[in-house]
Amino acid sequence: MSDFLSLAGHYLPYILKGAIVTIELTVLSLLISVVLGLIAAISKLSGRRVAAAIANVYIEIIRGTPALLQLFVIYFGLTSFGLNLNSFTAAFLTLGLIGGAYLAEVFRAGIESVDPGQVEAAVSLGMRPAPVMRRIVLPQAVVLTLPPFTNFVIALLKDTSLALTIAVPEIMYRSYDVASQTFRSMEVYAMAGAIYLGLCLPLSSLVKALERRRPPR
Amino acid sequence: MEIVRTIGLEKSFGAHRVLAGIDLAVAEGETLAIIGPSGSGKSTLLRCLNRLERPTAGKVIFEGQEIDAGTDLPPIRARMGMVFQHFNLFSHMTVLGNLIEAPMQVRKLRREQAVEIAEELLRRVGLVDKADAYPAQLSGGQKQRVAIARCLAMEPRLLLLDEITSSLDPELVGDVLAVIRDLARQGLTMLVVTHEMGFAQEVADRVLFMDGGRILEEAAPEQLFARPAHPRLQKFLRAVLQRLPMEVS
Repeated sequence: MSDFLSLAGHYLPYILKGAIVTIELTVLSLLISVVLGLIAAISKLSGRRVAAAIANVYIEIIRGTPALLQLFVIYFGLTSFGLNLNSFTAAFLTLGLIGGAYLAEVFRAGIESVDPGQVEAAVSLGMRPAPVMRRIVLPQAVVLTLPPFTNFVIALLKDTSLALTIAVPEIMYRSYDVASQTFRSMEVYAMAGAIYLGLCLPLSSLVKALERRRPPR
Repeated sequence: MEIVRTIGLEKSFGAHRVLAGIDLAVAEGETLAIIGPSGSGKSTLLRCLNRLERPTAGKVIFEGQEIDAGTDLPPIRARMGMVFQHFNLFSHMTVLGNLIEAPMQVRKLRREQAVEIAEELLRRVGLVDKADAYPAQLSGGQKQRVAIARCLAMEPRLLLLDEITSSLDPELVGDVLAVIRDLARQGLTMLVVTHEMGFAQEVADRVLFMDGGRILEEAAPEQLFARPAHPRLQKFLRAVLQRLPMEVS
């Protein structure tokens, strides 16, 4: 036990610093995901063929290839076009691109679940498409979308561990680093797991709270 | 003055021809009731007027302006209110929110102005105490009166009423019809698609009978109901009065 405490005392601060990087990666890629997801969802629903086709191609490419491959294409592959991203940037860009494709489907489902009669009512009152979307559809879609959206954030937070492979010093990278120096894999990864749990549990209790609190329809 | 006119209006959904050439003119202050069996094209006619459906052929002229594919529709729709069978209230907004939304967004009224108009309208439809309620907390009849008030807040020149009592419990129909009766008395121009023959007779200046996408008969209510000329209309009225189901031709 005292063994573990001395190990933790020694390396926990180092691994915890990785938690900050993990959170930064999560927040930045989440922002990109939301923007891309909204654009892709609205493109798919716009009825404009070209926009919908582009959104579909984007979503299918992301869905049909491994995340790790996408990360390597962006980090290593783009160098052949002279684009040398640092590993942190490559990681949050990739995770943002991936997240956008998944959120597009989440948002599309949310938007489609809003009563089309209300859209007709708004249109028949003379409201233009953008205000109808902003004032009538999105506020209702957001409420319906919050539980799957929060689940997405949890998955995203855990997926940041992929950045280990391109040496972004997040939780997983630092744990791997410590484990290979100390050869005490079990204890080190247990610590890392505890940190991930500590980050994710509040989010999952948020999902539960949101699911309890459904608005009247 | 003429508010709206259609010339040879047609609408098909695929091979199914729902409107087969409608010629119609509505004068300012007139209340026109449209009756006919379900599937006869009544609702589609209203939806072609504000272009929720795009007509396949023919013209719609609203306040002297032809509405075609190039027309900027929102300003037209803002002057042509529509009340729906299923109310379609904005369920995330209070009653007051429903009433002030379009006036602020479309008519660019200040909030205080919009609220003032909304409160006056809620008094008129007898729901001033429900201003802060959400649609889910209202009865069907109350919802429909809110929907009517929401249209009136735009101060429309023409009101399209699409079977607005068809999904209400019978005991709630009266309050809604009373509001429409009141509007007709004040001279608002209205097109009323309805299954309430008594109401059509009482409130309409003119009644149209539609069947198979055409207007088969058009007359003042006292004449149309007392001396129906077209055999289809005679059959329809008999069926309705006996509450028999009417097959679609």
